[in-house]
Amino acid sequence: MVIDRRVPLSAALFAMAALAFAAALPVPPDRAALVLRLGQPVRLIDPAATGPAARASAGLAWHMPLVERVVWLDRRAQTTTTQGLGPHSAAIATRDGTALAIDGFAVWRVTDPVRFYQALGTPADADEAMRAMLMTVLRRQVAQSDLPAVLALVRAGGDAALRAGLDREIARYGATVVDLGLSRVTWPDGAPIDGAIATMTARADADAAAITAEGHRAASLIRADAEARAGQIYAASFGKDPEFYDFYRAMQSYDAAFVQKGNHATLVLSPDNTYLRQFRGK
Amino acid sequence: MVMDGLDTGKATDGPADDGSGVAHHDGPRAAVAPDAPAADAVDGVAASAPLRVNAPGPWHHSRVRQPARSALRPVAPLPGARAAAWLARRLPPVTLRPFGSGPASRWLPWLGGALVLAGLAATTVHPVGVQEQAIVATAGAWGPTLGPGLALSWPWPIGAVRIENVTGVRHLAVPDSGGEHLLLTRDGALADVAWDVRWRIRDLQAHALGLADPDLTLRLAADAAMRSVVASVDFAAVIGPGRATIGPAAAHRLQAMLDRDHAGIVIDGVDLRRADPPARAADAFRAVNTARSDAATEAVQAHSWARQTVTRASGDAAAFDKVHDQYARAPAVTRRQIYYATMERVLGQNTTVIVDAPGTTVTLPPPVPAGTDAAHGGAATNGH
Repeated sequence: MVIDRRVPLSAALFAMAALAFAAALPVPPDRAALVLRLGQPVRLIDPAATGPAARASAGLAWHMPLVERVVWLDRRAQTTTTQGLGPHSAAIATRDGTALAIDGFAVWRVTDPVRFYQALGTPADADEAMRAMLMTVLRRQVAQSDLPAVLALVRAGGDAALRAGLDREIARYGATVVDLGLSRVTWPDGAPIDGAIATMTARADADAAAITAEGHRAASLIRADAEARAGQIYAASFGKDPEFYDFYRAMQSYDAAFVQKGNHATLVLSPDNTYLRQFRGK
Repeated sequence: MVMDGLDTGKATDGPADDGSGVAHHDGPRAAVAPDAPAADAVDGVAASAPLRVNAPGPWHHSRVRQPARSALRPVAPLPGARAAAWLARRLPPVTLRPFGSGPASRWLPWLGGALVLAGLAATTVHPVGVQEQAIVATAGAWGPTLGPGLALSWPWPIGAVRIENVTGVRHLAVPDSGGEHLLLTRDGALADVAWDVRWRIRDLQAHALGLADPDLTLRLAADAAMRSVVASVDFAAVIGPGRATIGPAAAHRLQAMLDRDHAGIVIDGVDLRRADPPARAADAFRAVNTARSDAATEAVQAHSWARQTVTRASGDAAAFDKVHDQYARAPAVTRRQIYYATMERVLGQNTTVIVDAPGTTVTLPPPVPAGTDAAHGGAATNGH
C-alpha cells in the first residue's frame, strides 16, 4: 500500500491548526475572559479594566484546551428591572400608609469580575439576585418616606440615596451602580386606582359646575353693564325735558300696545276724552 | 517508493494547483508530442484514467496521455475517438487528476474551491451602506470605526465585523402596546400619556461598549424620564397647555440619563402621542370642556345682547332728540300733531265704542282666544 507522504504532513498541520483554534482566546473589548483551570480561577483577561484603552488592549490571548475553561463576563452595563415580573409587581406602602405601585431599574456594571463570578456567576445569571436587591432597596427607601417625599423622588428620577443604597449592596459582589431610575410609579390596581379616578372625576364635575356658574356670572355682568349704559344714554337725552318725554313715551307706548298686527281691542271712550274734544263741537 | 521517480518541478503545479493552471499547460503539450500511441487515446479519457493510476504514478500518466489525444485526430478518424478527443479537450483538466472516480470528481474540487472562495469573500469583504458604520474586529481587538464603503477584515474565524445603521432615526413607542399608560402628576392625579422616542446611535464604539441591552434600557429610561417630568407638573397642565413643553423636557432628561450610562445614543426628540385623562374619567372631563364652551357661548350671546341694547338706546335717544328739537321750536302744534297721529293709528285698528251717558252698561264681545282669531273679520285680512 502506497501512502502519500503529504497525508501525515497534512494531518499534522490539521492537528496543529485544530489545537491553535482550540487554544486561541480572542478577547473582545466588551467582555472579560475568566480562565478557570480545573475550576480554579487562574487568570483574568479583562480589556475593560484598562479603561478607555479597552479597544487597544483587547485581542488574542491563549489558554490550554481541555484543562482550562473560559467563563465570559459581559463588561457592558447591565440593566435590571423589577418591572414585568407579573402583571404588576406588588404595591409598596409609604410611611404614611399610602400604597404605591413602584418599579425601578438599575444600570450596573461589573467592576471586579473574579469576585462577581464567585458570588453571583455571570451577569446574566445574576439578574435574579440583582432584581431582589433592587426591590429590597426600593422598598426600604419608600417605606421610610411619606407620599410627598416619594413624589419628589419620582420628580428627581431616583436619587442619590437610592443609588447609594443599591451600590452598598452590590459593591461587595464586585459591581457598581451606574444609574437608577423609577420606571413605574402609580397607584396600585383595584381600590386605590379607582379611588384616584373617582377623585379626579369629582374634581372635574366640580370644575364643570364652577365654570358654568362663572359663565352665568360673566354673562349677567355683561348684560347689566349694557343696561346701565343704555339707561345713561336715555337719561342724558330724555332728562332734557321730562314732561315732553312723558308725552312722547306715552304715544310710543300706545303705538306699541294697540297698533300691533292682528291686535284687536275694543276701546270704550268717554265723550270727555281729549281726542273727542273737537267731536263735541266745543 | 513509487513516487521517487516523479518530476519534482511538476509536482508543485500538479495536484496542488487548481484547474486553471493545468488547463493552460494542456494546449502546448499536445502540439509538441505528436508520436504517442493512438490506442491510449481511443480508450477514452476520463473513464479509463482512474484505472491506470496505479501503474506509472500520477504525473507520468497525465503527461503521456495529453499529447496522444491530439495526435490521433488525422490518423484514426473513428467516430467514437473523434468525439472522445473533442470531449477531452473540452473537459476541464481536473479530470486528469489521478485520484477520484466517476464524473463527480471532475466538479467537486471546483465546487469546493468556489465555496471556499465565496466563504472567504463573504467573511472578508463587507459592504457598508450609506447610513451605516462598521467596526472590524481582528481576533477580538476592535479597529477604528469605518464609514460607508467596503470594510475589509480577516476571514472567519479570525476577523469579524459589526455593521450598524447610525444615521437612520429609530423609533421607540412607549407604551409598546395600545393600552392605557397612567402617569402620576404633581397633584396626585393620573394622566394617560403615550409618546414616541426618536433616537440614533451617536458613537458606534461607545454604543457597542456601553449597554448590554440598549433597547430595554432605553425603554425603561424613557419611561422614568417622562414620569419625572409629568410628576413635576399639575394634571391640568399635562392635558392642557403644558403638553408642548413635556416632550422636550423628557427628551432632555432621557439624554442626561443615557449620557450617564455611556450609551452612545443621541435622542432626537420625544413626541407626545396623547396626554389625556384616564378613560374612566373621560366623561367628566368632557363635561368640563362642554361647560367651558357653553360659558364661552353664553358670554358671546351676552355681548351680542349688550351691543343691541346700547345701540337701540342710542337710536331711541337720537330719535327723541330730533323730535324734541322740533317740539322746542313749536311745542303746542307738534304735541297735538303727534297726539292725533298716534290716536288715528290706535283707533283706526281697534273697535271704538263711545259711551255718551255715564252709567251705561256696555256688553263687550267675549275675548278672542289666541290662535283662533281667524274667525275675526279683521284678522282674516291680515294675511295669516
